[in-house]
Amino acid sequence: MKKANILEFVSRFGTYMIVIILVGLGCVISDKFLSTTNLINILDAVSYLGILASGMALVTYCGQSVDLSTPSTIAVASFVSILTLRFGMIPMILCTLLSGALIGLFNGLIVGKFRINTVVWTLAVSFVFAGLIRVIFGSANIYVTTGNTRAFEQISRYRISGRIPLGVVVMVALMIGLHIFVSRSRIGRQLKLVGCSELVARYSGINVLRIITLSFVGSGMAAAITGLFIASLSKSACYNYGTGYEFRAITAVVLSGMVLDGGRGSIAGVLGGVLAIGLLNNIMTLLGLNSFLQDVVTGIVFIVIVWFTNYTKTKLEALNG
Amino acid sequence: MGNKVYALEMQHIVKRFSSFLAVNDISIQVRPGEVHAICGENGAGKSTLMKVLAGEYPDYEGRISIHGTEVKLDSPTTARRCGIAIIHQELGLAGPISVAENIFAGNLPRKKGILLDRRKLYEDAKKYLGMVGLSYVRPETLVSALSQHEAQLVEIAKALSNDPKILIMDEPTSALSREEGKRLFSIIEDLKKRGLAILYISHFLSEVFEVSDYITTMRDGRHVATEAKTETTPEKVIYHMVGKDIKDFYAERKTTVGSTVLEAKSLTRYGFFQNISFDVHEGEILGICGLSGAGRTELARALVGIDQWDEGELFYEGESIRNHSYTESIRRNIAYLAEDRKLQGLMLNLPIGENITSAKAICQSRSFWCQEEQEKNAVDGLMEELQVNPRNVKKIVGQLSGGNQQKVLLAKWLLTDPKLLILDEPTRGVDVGAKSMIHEAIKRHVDKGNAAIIISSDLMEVGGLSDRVLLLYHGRQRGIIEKDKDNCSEVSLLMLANGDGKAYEEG
Repeated sequence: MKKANILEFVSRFGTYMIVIILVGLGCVISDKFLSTTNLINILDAVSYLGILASGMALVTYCGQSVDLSTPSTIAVASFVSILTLRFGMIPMILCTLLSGALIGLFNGLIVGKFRINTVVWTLAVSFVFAGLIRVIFGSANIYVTTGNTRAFEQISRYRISGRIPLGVVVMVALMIGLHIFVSRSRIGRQLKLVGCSELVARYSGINVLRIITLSFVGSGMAAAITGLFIASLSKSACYNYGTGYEFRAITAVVLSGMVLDGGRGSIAGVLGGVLAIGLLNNIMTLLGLNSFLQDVVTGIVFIVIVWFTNYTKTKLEALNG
Repeated sequence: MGNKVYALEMQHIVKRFSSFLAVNDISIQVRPGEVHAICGENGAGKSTLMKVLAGEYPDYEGRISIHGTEVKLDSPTTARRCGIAIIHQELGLAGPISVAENIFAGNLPRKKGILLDRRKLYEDAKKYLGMVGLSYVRPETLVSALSQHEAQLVEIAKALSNDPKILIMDEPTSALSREEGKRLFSIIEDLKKRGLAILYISHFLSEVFEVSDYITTMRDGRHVATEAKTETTPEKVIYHMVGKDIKDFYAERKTTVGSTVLEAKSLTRYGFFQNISFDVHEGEILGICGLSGAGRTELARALVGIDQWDEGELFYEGESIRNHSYTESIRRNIAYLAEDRKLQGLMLNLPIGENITSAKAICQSRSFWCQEEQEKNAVDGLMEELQVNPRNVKKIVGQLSGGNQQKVLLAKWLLTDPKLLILDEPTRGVDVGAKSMIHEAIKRHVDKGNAAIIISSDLMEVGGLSDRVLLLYHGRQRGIIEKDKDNCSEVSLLMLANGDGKAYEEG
């Protein structure tokens, strides 16, 4: 029984333990590590990733493994934001969110209704959308020309009281909101039940298709917000803007203690996972490692974490009978 | 039959599981060339007795003699050496391997000790295939290429290859059609002539009366009667199986019937059930009885809206419902306790509390926030009432015993306060204590003015709890039996559920 408790503790709080260890490591490596500027930099560096991962976590939590359509959703959203800016800021934001929601709706209905493998389906969707963008707009960047370009640029550049970037605020607010939603609301509990066992959820009266679709819509909208920020940062849109984000987001989700089978973990854990990635990258930068080497380390961390969560899960299941 | 020596003699066999007596003082004698049938309801102890003979329970008490020599069956190997062969209900053959190799699995003929002697293998296999009427099957055929009926016969051939003296057949016809069953019986006749003693276990009384010479009835692990076939009737056997003390077991319930809760009018789903008409009232329990595959579960699933039906009408509290979804049904206070608690009923990796509230607080409510906390008292009350052990809402359901899991499942649905409670196999694989606890809870709920429909393979349960019983046979309604009018309804249930009614006519 004791072993089960330890494993349970690790699977629940392991991500925070990693964060604490990394903070300690950072303090040892550099005295600038704990400076406010560096800490804000760390948050700033992972804010887009955090927004993306918190949406993607909904899909994982609901038992649908991972949403790999996010890179193209990010790209589509960047185009939508640039093309609709001429109608004003608010319509532009609404249209961008809507584009993400529609892609999510499409994914959710197909995956939920026809029980297609999520990884295969979302990967294909990602390919199709990236291809469509290149067919229509070519491979070059599309720049902001019409509309309130100053305000558009400010989305990614504005700092509240001159210090905290808007992206960080959005990430934290989104995570707090989603955390409360997932852990307290009725829909959140339904996500968990579907993640635990779709069949039991169905026999308990849950509309499983609706819940799965909802999780994909959440993921799509989060990806759209990320796309909006990226477009604002580069003042342009391009088909490959989301490339690489999906893998780091999955790493964050897995680090959070969410098992890819669903039904476990929390959004607060995802914050821990995102912070762990941010800290790791920051420390590696402080150590002077180049970005390719950083990718290698991130990949290895992912492999170790997946192995470890799988290990604790099977151990827990064996102990729980 | 003049043989004085019994092929198999069991004297005062007792097998306990901790304090529970699964087999309680059973004595049976079988002569060579005789078929001895063993009848009894599920849980009567037939299978345990057979496992004792197979050597799977070395800790039995009592004496077993084979051809006059006392033996101690302490392992399956010993049992085999003593000439006992068992043909199990489930097929134990390997599909991708040839018939011959299956027959001699574990005992393959060899050349020079290493190489497989194929010629001898196939020749020997032919001999045994001939014995079971499969001389047309080539020994090198793969088992997966055979029909289920042929595979069953290969299983018998495999048993015969050990040159047994005693053959035990556990529900050998459960997977066979009537014609195939007939062929099996003629093979049994052949085996009898060879001097084998056969123990035959079956639910189907018509078969038992066709093949056996003697019939022993068991109930609750005890021996009730052993009679020659010629001296008994199916009615008598059923009477022995069910026992006369049911009325004591299921205490009489005073039924005050209120208005109609659910009414079905010629409900039909093609291929599953046809023309089903019944009604169930407040304060009433309706049993649905039939063999598995008779369409019981399919009917229940249609009633609650998991599946749709093709024709007919359904009225819930006087209102016609059509194409209702399952979620709507739950909101209307209809509850369906699914058959398979592990796959369909419970989230095994979640704690008791979250499982119990999952239907009411999460699916029945319409509020945005999850109001699980508000149900805390109700959950505690239900756990107390059903005596869920341990009474700890944080305990993971997967760690509980089957009986406690079933209690949690019932609590989950009782929490929704269902006007109509539909229970599909509510006590399958559950110990006696939990079973009566569950029965009491169902009765209390119905006495509050609710209705219940119980589907169960346990005829004692259906007969004992229900006020009326709907009989299903191959998807068709065979009638509704009123409990008050028929004082031995369990007997008639068994007769009618037993199939073609042959047993009924013979009596």
